[in-house]
Amino acid sequence: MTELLGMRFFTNALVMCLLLSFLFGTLSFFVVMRRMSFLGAGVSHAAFGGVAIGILLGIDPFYTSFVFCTLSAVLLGKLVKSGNISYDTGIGILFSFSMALGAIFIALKKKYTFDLMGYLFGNILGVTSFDMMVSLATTAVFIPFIFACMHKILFMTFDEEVAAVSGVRTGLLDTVMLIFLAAIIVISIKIVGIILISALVVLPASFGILLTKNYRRVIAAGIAYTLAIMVGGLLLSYYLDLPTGATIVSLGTAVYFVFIGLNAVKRSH
Amino acid sequence: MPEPAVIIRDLTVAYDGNIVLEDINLEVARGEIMSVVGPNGSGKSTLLRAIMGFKRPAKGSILVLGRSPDEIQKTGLIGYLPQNMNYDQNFPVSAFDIVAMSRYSRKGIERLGPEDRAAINGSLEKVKMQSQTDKHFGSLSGGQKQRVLIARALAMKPSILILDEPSIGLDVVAQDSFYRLLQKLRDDEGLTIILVSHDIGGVSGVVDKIACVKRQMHFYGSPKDCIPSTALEKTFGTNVYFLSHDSECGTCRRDK
Repeated sequence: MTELLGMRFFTNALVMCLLLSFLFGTLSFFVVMRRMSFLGAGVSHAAFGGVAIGILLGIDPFYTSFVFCTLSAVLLGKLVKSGNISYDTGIGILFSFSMALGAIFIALKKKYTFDLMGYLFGNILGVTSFDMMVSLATTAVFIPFIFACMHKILFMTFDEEVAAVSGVRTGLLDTVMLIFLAAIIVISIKIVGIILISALVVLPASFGILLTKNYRRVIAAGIAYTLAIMVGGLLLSYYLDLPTGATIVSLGTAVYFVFIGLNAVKRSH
Repeated sequence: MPEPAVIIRDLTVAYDGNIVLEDINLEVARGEIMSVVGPNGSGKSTLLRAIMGFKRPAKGSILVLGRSPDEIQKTGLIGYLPQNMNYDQNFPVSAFDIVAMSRYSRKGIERLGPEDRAAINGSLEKVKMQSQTDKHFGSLSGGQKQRVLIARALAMKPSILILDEPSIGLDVVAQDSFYRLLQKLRDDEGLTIILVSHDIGGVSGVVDKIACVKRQMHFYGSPKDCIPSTALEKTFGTNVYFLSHDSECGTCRRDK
């Protein structure tokens, strides 16, 4: 373990796990309670198109995937709000279109040297100090935002129209939350991978709801759960030489189902 | 004479070019209960949505407390109870959390002070839910949930309370108790209350004004005035008979 902590890439990944636990643990609550879990899948797959554009143009894929994901999330949000399209339909289209676009761009590049599997399924070796700094900056903006607006977002999540007529600026808050969703997804691509990120959008709140009926405790449980599965998955993936994202998500799913089982046993008694 | 709480002039509302409401004119005085009645699909809820700024008129004007519906949304002066009660049963909030939402909605820094707590507890007391404050919202009965949602609207200290089909899902006893609560809020707090109902018999003994709407307004006045059978025929498609009850049930009558 001491040997591991001496490795720069590992300490970077560990710090990122700490930060991402807070980000996903909190964000997941609002996404799941708004029944927008599928949005996480849509936006994370949109990242593939963004990554591919970066590779094709020779720009750092972080920037292109951030722009691509943010635009996709905000545009989708606006289209749904205007009543032109349903969430399911919009995400279904975005999901496959982004993947298709990504495949075309990568095919156009012909020769490439980047780690495609790392982008798709996560690879901690790819985590750099820059990634860690971006995660830190995102957390530094996200924490004050959540502390300042948590109850307004809670109101909007519970009942959007009543929140709007009660003076909550729902349109603005919705857009800011979508931008955070896109940013958090993009910064976690290297650890978890595009294909598996949506699990981290859904699992923390789903786990928290199994334990308590108090929203503060659901969020706290979601953060603790995300931290446990990310650090646990990171260590397991290192020692067992497995893909990081896949190990984190498999561990998270296993823990979730163990608690579902424990809940069922508790109820039967 | 204070300005009416709501003034609607020549209002026409359309969805995708299909006119849902046409040439609606009405004034709701401050401190009165007004009910919009009509069959399903008659445009009742659309009228409420236009008043709250969720649906822009194709023609005409609406003034709510002297402001446009867009402006009134930002003030929090409207307390709203929506028709849709399909909330997620697992949403992890208590009755207190629900009512507190309305106190947080206009705060820059989200911290509840003594005044906020007094408003929340006072509102729960008004709707007789003070003993249920810590209960999980999803575990409450339909009637209790509705009371908590009204408490949320009241905690904001609104000037107007808007209720969309509030009696749906309530049994006769709960309905009676609910209508008495509305009358108390009007009498004690001077609240202006606008409610939509398809149950003309249920509301006519409770409200001060009644608006019969089916695309157009076919009657607007006191339910104590005999509603012309032609107006009922135009609103409901047939000359309906209804029993009107006041709170003492002393003047039951049958309108023909």
